[in-house]
Amino acid sequence: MSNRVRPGPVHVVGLACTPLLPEQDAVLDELVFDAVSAALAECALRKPDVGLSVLASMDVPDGRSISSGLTTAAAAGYLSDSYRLEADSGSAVAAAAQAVAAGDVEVAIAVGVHNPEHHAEDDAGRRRFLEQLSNLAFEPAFDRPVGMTAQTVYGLQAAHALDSGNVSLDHWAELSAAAITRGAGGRRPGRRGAVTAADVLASAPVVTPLLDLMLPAPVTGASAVVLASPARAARLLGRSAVLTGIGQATGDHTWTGEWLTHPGATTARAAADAYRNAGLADPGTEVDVVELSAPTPALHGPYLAALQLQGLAPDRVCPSGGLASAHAGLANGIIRLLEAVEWLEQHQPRGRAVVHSVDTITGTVSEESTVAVVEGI
Amino acid sequence: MAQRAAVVGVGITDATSPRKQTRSHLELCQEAAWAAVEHAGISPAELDGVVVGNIDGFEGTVLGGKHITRLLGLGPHLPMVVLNTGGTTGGNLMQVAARMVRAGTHQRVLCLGGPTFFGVRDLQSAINTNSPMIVEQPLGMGGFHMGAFAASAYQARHGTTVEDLASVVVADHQKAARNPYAHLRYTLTETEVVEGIPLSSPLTQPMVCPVSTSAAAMVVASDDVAAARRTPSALIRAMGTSSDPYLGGGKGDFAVMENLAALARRVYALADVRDPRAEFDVVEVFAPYVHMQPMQLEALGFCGPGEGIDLIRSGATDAGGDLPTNLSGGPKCTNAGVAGELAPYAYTALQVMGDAPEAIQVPGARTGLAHGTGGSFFQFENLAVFSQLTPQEQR
Repeated sequence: MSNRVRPGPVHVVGLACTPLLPEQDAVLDELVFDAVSAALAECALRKPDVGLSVLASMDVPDGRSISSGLTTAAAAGYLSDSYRLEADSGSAVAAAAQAVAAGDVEVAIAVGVHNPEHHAEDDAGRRRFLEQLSNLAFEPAFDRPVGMTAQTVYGLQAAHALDSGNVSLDHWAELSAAAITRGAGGRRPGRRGAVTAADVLASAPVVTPLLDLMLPAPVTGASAVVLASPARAARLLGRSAVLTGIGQATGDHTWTGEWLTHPGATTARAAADAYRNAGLADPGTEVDVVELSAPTPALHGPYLAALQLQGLAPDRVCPSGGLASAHAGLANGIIRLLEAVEWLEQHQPRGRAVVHSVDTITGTVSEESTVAVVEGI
Repeated sequence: MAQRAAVVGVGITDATSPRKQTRSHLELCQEAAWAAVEHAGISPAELDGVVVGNIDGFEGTVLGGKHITRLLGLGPHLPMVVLNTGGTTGGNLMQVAARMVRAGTHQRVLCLGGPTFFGVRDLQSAINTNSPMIVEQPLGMGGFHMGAFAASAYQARHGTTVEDLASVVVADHQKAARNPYAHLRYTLTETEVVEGIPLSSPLTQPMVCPVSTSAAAMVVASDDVAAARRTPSALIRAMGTSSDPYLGGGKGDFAVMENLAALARRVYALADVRDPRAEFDVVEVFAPYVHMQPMQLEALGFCGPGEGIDLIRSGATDAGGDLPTNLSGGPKCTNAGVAGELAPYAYTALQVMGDAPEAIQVPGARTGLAHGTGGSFFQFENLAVFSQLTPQEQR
């Protein structure tokens, strides 16, 4: 890997997302259209200006097959380069950025959408639906029959961490309560009220030792980011941020146990690539804020350590509230980028943020992790 | 810093029907992946990414790549991306991998396409699920039902007979009979094609692709990696994709492939191809239904409107002709889903590398065109132009 070339910077010129709601009254392509139109409007571009459109979505929960047929035109892909990844939208951002860095296009758009065509009365019902599908993504001969799902994995990992004696359920409850409360005061809360650690501990058990308010708040919606080359960005309105490094990694499957004992390992590999690309030697002192994607409080510490950002002040870690506040499935990666860029705009226009996202399809097993470094300019 | 990308390794497995297949999905993928790595002359540890195609809803798993790629034996931590664009998934794998390399973030990326329809009992019902839900889904329309609309339109426009269409199938089977990796390796007469089981007029069963099981893989690498090889690589000179809308909006004419014609102009301009008929030594198009092949040849600028059948009947597209096309036999003789969609890219790359199976290798092939497509009433297209890149040229 030492002969990799450092890719050039890619500018963020438009960023938007739809309202994040437990269920939408819009179908998949309507959500994509809304997010893409809003992101393009920020930088005064039109769909024909886009050289590449990369959409991230997952067909099975969305109740579709080959949904790119439905969504591509809404995602600015009509008669142009486009494709769809079944991955977190952080991967779509990476793919779009690669096309710009390669010099193949001047403007690219990455889109994420999550809109399960399933009605449930509450979060528990929504999670049950996703859990059924999660099982189908595990290895079929050994893992599926024993009921492996994302929640099972998160529960096992949390139990393993508790068993070490180095963390406590009370600490996790405090982390979750703080995140939900921060998010409730933010722009895109899924959980809309402030809660205490006692509220978290009193919430319904879901998968031992994890409780309802420790798990992501399931919401639906779409997100989009417009990226441009430095030269093209110089002539555009819109956001003033630049991606200086992106790294991606995928975790091992069940048999090595890395998902259980070293759940931050995948993120650490992604971060190493992102930091190398961005030229960061000491992220602990060079990063101002991180938007983290921890599906459970048990992963908060391992992910922060993997990002080498455990020294950041608590108010600089996921100021948006993160997944405890709202988790829009595969649209999450771009939403985390949006939150980070907005934080920089409001608090430190020349600052530097790290954006972390993971898919939650199989928990920390075969986890896909994306780490991006974004700087205000 | 941007860099060039080239195909440096290709692996293709033998193909057969799902009923006769003795190897699992995983075993086929392993064979193709390891063959591609071996052909590239690299070790698995040198790979720094894998792009895998899964068409969820058609396969018996959700994101099967999540466990398949971990079981390839190529390393537990290989970063993976799952791509799903339906019928264009295989062709788009290289588009994604090439950009990873061209951006400089990756050096050697594996593209992997497995057998999509391994366990499907009723493929047309599966295909029905991705069609528009107002009319097509309730009517139970499958792929060839919708494909037949274009076949009829083409016949009506140009007076094409079923015998004309059958001639395309006859030519494909003659080519597949020489390809050791093909599924249907027998020859047919025009009469046998015309008298085949009627599916959706004018299409008969031999005019439509079979359900095959096989796997294909390619290694896409930087030109530094290509330069280290002793044998030629397939430089990706230009590539692109183009998408139709879901409901065929804007497509007023089913007898012509406007979307592909527009993409061809764009990709040819990138590759500085001005006279495609003269400049390509070898072509592989993805034409799972018979009428698509002449229409594609027309859209790609190899002949005028309505002249595609005559071009094929002339022998120009046969081995030894001036435009050798689908010497693999194409998807009407082998179509394993994502693997079948990746196949035009894999065969074209092999041709310009000089490493195609001996019986189908075009002597001296240096420039090739690979094409992929998918859709129903709407069509999504992808193209790539390959040029032979020798280590001497690279240095």
